[in-house]
Amino acid sequence: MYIAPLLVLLLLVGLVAGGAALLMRQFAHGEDSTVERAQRHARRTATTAVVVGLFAAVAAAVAVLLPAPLDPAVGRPGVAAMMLPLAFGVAHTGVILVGELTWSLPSGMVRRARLAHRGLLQDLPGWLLRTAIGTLVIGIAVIAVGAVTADRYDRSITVHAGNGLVEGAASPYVGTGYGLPALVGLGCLLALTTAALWVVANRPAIVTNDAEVEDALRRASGQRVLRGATAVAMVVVAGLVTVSGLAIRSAAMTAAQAARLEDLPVGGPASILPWVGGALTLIGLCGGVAGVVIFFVRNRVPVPAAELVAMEQ
Amino acid sequence: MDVTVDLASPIPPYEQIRGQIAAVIDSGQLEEGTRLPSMRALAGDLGVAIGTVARAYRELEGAGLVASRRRLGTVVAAPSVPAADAGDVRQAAAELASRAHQAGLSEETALSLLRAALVALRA
Repeated sequence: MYIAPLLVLLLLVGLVAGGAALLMRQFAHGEDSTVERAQRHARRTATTAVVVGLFAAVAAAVAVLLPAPLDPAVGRPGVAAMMLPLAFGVAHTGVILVGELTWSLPSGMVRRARLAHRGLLQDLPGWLLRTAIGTLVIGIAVIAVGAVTADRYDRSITVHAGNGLVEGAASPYVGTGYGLPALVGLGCLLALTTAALWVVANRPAIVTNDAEVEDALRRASGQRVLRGATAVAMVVVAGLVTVSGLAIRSAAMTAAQAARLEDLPVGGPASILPWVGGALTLIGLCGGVAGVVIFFVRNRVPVPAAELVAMEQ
Repeated sequence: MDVTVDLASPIPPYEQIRGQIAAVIDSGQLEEGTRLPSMRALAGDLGVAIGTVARAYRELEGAGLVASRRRLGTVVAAPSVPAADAGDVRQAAAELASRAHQAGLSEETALSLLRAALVALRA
């Protein structure tokens, strides 16, 4: 179905990110200090991730919109719109994952390591972690409720009024038609994010006398991974909530109007659901904006004075 | 608390890792239940093969200094010498280390002197 482009995209992202990482590694050797080199590697990885993510988003949308004689065309623009952030998220996280795998290795005859355990979620900001988990739970709940409440077309909702004699229907609504691709996309994103966080926790430490710098670099890497994935998940879930809210509002208002025209009682659901739909739309829009804002939250990595002196000389 | 591996040393890397971790556990610097870094993470930081760290951890486990737990990974089990019995010896060892440092002796020389003293006791 529409899931195939996402899976093909995963393969493409791996290939492109691998090539980009090899290029980044080739240019990484120089006369700079280890910390400076690590910071540059992190910056290059972040920039490449955004660029590859944007290309992937456009490619996924085009792939979904391409003509396919065996598949129905209904709902394709909606799925294409949903693929934009999902493809960006998958590609962005994939590139960062490869970037973390190509972190510079320890060299020299004497190597040193801290005897401390590093956990998968260690040092990640609590608010970001809570937001990520909350978004995932809300996303699954929205998709599940949508699948249960959607009508027989799987992409629209029907609201009855006038003791069931009149009805109003509206789409797009998060039934299985949109919910299933969204669920697969969020699942891919979750798997990639977990893998990337695992790589961040286990990648070699930077050779520096300042433990704070090493901690900050690792914290920044973890935050970069989680921030991108959370932002994308928030935009996707917010999109689902917004369009579903609009559909609920529209269907309920249509049903209520039809009931009034026929001099039938509007009933509770058709009276309340426009407000519910409106509230969902507003919440969805706020969530989408919050997702975009989260993507731009940065974590600065301090450079120790000794390294700065070495860089100036 | 750091672990150092000197690739130019005649002592194999796994033995260097094992010896240093055993020393910090015995000295009480790592409390019982403290989680050690994962084998992959420590191997990555030191730039050695995972098998090298795995062997060091295996030998530490064999000596009862660490234990492998399914969810926690490798954790410190207990010092080989009970804390109550080793208090004086630890203090003397710390004093020896301090004096050797003040006298400008290398670690190897200080350890040789200690070994010589132990041999003299056995004789």
